[in-house]
Amino acid sequence: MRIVVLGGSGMMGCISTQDLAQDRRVTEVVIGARNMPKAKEVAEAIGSPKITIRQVDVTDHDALVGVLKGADACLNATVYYTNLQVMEACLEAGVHYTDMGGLFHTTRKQLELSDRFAEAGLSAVLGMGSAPGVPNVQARYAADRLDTIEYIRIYDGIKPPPPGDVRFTYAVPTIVDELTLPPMVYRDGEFLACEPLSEFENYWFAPPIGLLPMHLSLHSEVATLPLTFQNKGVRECFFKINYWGMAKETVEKIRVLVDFGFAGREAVEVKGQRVIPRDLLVAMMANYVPPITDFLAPPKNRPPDWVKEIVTEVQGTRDGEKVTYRMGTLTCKGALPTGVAPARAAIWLAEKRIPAGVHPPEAVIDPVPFFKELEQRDIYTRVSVTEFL
Amino acid sequence: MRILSLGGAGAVCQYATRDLAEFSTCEQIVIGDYNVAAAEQLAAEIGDPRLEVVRVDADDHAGLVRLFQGFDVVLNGLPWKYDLAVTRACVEAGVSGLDVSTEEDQWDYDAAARQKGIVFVPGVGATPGITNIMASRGANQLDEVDEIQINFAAFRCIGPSPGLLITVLWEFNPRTKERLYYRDGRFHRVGPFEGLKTVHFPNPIGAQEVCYIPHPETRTMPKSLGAKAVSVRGCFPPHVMRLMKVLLESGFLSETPVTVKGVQTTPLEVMHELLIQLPESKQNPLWGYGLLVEVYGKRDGRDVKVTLWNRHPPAEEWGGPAAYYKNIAIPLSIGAQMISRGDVLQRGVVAPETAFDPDVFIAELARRRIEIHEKIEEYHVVGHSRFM
Repeated sequence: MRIVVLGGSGMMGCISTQDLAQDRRVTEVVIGARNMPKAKEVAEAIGSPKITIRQVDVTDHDALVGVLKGADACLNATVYYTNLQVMEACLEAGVHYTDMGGLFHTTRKQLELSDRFAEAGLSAVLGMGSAPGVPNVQARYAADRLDTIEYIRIYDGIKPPPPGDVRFTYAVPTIVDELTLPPMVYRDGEFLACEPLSEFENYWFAPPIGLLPMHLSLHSEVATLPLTFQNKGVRECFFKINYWGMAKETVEKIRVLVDFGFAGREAVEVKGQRVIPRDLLVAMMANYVPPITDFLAPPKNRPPDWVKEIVTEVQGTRDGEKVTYRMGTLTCKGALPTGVAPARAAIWLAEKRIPAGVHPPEAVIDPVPFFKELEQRDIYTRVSVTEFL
Repeated sequence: MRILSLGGAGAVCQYATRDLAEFSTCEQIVIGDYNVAAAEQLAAEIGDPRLEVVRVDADDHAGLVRLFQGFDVVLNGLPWKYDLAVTRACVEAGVSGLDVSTEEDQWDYDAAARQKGIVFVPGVGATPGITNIMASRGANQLDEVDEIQINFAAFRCIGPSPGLLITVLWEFNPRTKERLYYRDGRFHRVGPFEGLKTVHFPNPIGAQEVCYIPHPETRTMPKSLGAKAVSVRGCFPPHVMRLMKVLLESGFLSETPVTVKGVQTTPLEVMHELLIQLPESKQNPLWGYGLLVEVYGKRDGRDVKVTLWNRHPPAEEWGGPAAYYKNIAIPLSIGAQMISRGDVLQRGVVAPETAFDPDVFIAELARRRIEIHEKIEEYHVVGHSRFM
């Protein structure tokens, strides 16, 4: 089994590469990367003979097709802007596809490729990171056990770093987008655009994470779950997170820059050269990205000293009785599920366990075997069911 | 009498030109500007027959000297990068002058200016400028000056003009060496956002947190007013202060090269261009100037504190941004008129607090509805009563 991980030496991609290399079903993991020295650093740090490296620029269609050909699945771990391009290359190369999310709007566009994937006999699972990804499968678990669904509420709770600790632990352009783009929520049959950083509520996570302030954020789960479970009458779906896992102070700082127009996409001229403000913001923020070896290091804590709980609450009815499912997926290393979950999806794709077409996770990932696989990597999922008297 | 209003059609200095037309008795007021069209439009708008327009290229030194020779006073409202060029040209031409900011090297022309029998006064805006007059007035109430604390709230957008944008970026740049306070006989260098304290400015500005700002008052007042300690603290509107703090903490004021999508630049360079070009940098909810000067000292053997603060018509009345600009431009015009009518006796390059009689200056400000208020209090350290 040969899996190509595009961006396989990036912050999240390196964890997928590591996870795939450790899986006995996988015989070869190809890191498709633009930055060769970094890819080599990751390959050396993981130290598996299964890993090979191919230099590739994902915007170069022909080169990308060349790298993908002969692979059993492609895991796209580059920034989500490339999703559609990579899917086109997969169609041409005849390779199954998965990624870590499309920030709502891109996911919607990706789903439109479903017929073409089906015709080619290819499968794709979209948004298979920790979130989106895990919450979709959590929601599916509950949906399978409910006749009707009232709401699907997702809370991604991350133990915040201390106030002075400024670091960005996933794709910086995505962070800037999440901070600036209006979050979409689903209410009473309609998708609504809300204000970034709005609708705060405190939510209780498994200790030692505890109570965290949660706010809306743009996310892909909301793009698909209400539609997938439309027949169960979903009335509400939202995604909330606590400052994207950053310190509140860090987010406030970025917010000030954004308010002054630093996330703008119109170029300005600086000494005869054209610079896009957003590019500078992203370049400056890249100074606060931890070294790649931090992402490959084993968890610093042991269960139950959790650092992250991804929660999906689904309320609905079963046999006419109101029931609430609370699914909580726990990890001692925040980025672990983001790398491991799509690696599992890539393996399932290669094993032809996913039907042809383009699907959201909740449509095609069987929850129990999926969570069992995550458990092998110390990512535990708990279910609590609340019934009403 | 003839006064040259240099850069007199600019965002700030047009209000000096307008003030000259409204209040001065001189025979001729000439707007010297690079932008002749703007100057002519301004002259037409003011409609005073004494107004004339001349095109000025401030980079042409010989041209400046020739032009200046026909005037009694040069009022310099050009961006601060021309401070030295204008001072030098005034000295060469033998014409008195004044400007809105202060460059350390301007004092080097002191001897030459004396020799020519002229006076040049740098820093005659709101601060430096009105604050120097306030401190001077305060010091005059005392026998001995212990300490002068100058506080300002410059309520304007971050980048109303390239020059005013550079000023803010420079004032908060960690590498700026001129951020000093004076105490115990020497200057102490401090960093940006240091020396924080809350100052209650008159409404609508109200309570604001101010920090040390590099300003010339700190340099001149130990000598000119005999103060044993001098500090200048200031602030901009809260949204500008928040931005400056973030820029500083996130390395955006750095001059270390970075590569942005293949383009090599420095964060500070991009920042500067961005802030000039982004519409957000022109936004500001409240325009105006808050000034509050505290002068501590002794009078008749008692400890006395003189507090002086300003008041000016609100932005709604003075026309939004004009409420800020007028506070800079009006003092410039008053200074030029005081020099031209012979109120200034000193010769050389002279600080405003030395050049101008504060009571005359304050009376002139009041005619333009900029009021200076004053409170004098006696205080003493408890436990060190003079009755003991």
